[in-house]
Amino acid sequence: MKVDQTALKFNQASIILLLVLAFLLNAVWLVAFVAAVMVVGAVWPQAGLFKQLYARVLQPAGWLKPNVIDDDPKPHLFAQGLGGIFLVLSAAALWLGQPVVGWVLASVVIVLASINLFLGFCLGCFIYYQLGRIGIKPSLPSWQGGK
Amino acid sequence: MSERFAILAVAIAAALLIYALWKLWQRRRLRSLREVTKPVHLPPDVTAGKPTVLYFTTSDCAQCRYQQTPILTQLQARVDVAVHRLDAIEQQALAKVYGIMTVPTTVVLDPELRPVAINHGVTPLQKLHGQVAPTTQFANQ
Repeated sequence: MKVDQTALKFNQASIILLLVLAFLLNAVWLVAFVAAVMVVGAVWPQAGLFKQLYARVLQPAGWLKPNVIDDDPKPHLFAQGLGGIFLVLSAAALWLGQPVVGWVLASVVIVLASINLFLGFCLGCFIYYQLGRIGIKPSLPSWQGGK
Repeated sequence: MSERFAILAVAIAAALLIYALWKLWQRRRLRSLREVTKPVHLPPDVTAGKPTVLYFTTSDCAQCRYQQTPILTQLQARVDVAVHRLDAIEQQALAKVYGIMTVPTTVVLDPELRPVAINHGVTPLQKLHGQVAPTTQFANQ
């Protein structure tokens, strides 16, 4: 299977940028929006908003160049789903008037996405591999053949 | 909002500080490892004489199979380097010596089996080539 590394990096950069903006503007709706994009993108890979933006606008315009390599997309989708769950909890905490809990949860996603973007270490993928070692292979029907 | 900018600035500064400390710790660790001539846990087929890459992987590591292994094959086509594939689970003692935290991890050794670099995660061909090539020249001298 193939994975476009540029699409992954654009996805991570978009998540970081929007969550930092959400923190600066104290915009809970923006956290919820990013959470929704991440969860939808993890459950249904072809519907990922940032990936669509990359594939339909940035790549055709020549602003970003694809870097397609042999890779298994499942760990990346699992990692995104995990991040999405964190953000759903973050948005819920913020709405329930728990700003510290909410922003700490969001900052976990920002930090992990930054480590993935700048250092190339994907904690969600690492957890996916560790689960695989004990016989748990998280997967969804929509992940088969998805990028 | 200025308060939030300040928090963000402090968080970024803290992250950069942690990163700098981590790099410093890595450099010191590498220096102390270079003082050990040959780790006792090194497999017997790893012999001195030419640059060597210890390639830590696991049987179910997809990133290793799809990305790191082809890169190491390309590296061997470019330079005279020995690549030893090691299971990080089975070789836990050796993995501990080099501080292996994830797979794939590549440990580049010079011809005297002293570590030159420890790369955590998938390492591109250019980076590995840059680490191995100087030791190859050293070996040819």
